[in-house]
Amino acid sequence: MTNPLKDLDQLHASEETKEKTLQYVLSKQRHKKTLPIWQGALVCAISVLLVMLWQPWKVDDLPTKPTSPAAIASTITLDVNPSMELSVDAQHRILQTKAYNKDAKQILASIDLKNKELDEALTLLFANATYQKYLANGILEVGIYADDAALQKSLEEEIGAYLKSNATAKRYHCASIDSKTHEAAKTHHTSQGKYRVIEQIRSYDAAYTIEELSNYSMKKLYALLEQYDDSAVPEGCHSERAHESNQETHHQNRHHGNHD
Amino acid sequence: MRSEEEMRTAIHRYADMIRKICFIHMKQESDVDDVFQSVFLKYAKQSSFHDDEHEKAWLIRVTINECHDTLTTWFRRKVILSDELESYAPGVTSMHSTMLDAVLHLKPNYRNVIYLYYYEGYKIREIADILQKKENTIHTWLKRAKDDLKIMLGGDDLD
Repeated sequence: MTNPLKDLDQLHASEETKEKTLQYVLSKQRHKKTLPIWQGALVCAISVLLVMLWQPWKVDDLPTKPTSPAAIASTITLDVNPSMELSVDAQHRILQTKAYNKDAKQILASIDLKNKELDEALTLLFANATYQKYLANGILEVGIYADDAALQKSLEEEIGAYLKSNATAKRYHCASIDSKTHEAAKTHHTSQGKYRVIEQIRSYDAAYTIEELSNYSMKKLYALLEQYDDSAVPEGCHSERAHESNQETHHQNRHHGNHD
Repeated sequence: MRSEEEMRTAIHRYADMIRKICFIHMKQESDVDDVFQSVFLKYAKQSSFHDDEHEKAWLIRVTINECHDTLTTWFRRKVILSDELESYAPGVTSMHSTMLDAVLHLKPNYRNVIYLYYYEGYKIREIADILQKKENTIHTWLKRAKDDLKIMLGGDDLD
C-alpha cells in the first residue's frame, strides 16, 4: 500500500517550538496559581468603588423610574433539536423570538408568538405538529435568564409548572442561567440552555469544540454528558438505556414491595 | 495540572505528530506555535487518560480542532494570505512530492482521513472514534479522497 504522506517522515517539530510550548504552559500554570489573589484584590477594589459611587444608603432618595413595558426583561431558550430564544418583558409577554438553527426557523415561521403571554405562546408552540415530533423523541432543555432574580425565579416556576402539567414534553429540564453563562452563550451565538450543558461536557473533555457540540441535539448532549458524569444529568434526561434501566429498577422495587 | 516533567515528556513524545497534523492543515508557519500552545495547555488541564492510545487519539483530535479553529479565526480576521505554502519555514516546502502536494489539495476532512489511515495506520473504526463520526462516513470520505487523489495524480491508484 502506498503511503501518500511518506514525505512527512522528514518533518519534525523544532526544539525551539517545543521549548516555547513548554515555557508557555508552565507560565500559564504559574499565572493560574497567583491569579486568585489578584482577582480577589481586584474584586474588593471594584466593590468598594461601586459602593462609594452608588451610595446605597441614599437609595430611598432616588426618583422611581418606571419600567418601560417594551423592555426585554428576560430571555428564555428552548432546545430539543430546534433551538430558539424567546425574549419577554417583565409582564411575561413575548417581545421577540430568535431561531438558532434551521429546525427552529421553520417552526417559528409557522407560528406567531410575538405579543403573546408566555403560557399562551408555550401552548401554541407545543401544539405545533412538527415541534410535537421533536418533543416526543427528544429532551427539552429550558434555560431562563433575567437580571432581576425575582423575575427569573417566577419564570422558572411558571414554566416548570406548565411543563409538569403538559404531557407533550415527556422529558425536560428547566433551569435558571447565571449571567456568566448567558454572556458566554451570546458570544458563541448559542442558546444559553444548551451552552450550559456544552460547558459541562467540555469540563470533562476539552477536545470538543463549542461549535461542534452546538450542532448536537439535547438528547445527544445529555447522552454524552452521561458518559462522563451520570450524576450531572438531570432526572428524566438520561439516555434511553439508563432511563429504561431506572424504570426497570423502579418496577422491580415496587414488585418487591408488594411481596414484602 | 500536570508537572513540568510530565509536560516535557508529552511534548517530546507528541511534538512531531502535532507538527505533521499542523502541516497538512495550516498554511502559515507562524500559526503552528499557537496550535502547539493551545493543544498542550489543554493537555495540561486534562485530568487523565485510559492508556497511551487514548492519550494519542485525544491529542490528534484536539490538534485537528485547534487547526480548524485557527483557520476559522484566520478567515474571520479577513487576513489575505497566500494560498501557496511558501509561508512555511524553508526546508518544509522543498520536501514536497507530487503525491504530498495532491493530498494537501484535498478537503480538510479527506486530509484527516488519509493521514490517520495511511500515516498513523488507524483502522476505519478507530478513525470514526477519533473524529466522532460514523464508520460509514469515514468509509465514504476515504473512498472520495482516494478518487480525488487518483484524478489529481493522473490515474494512479493509492492501493
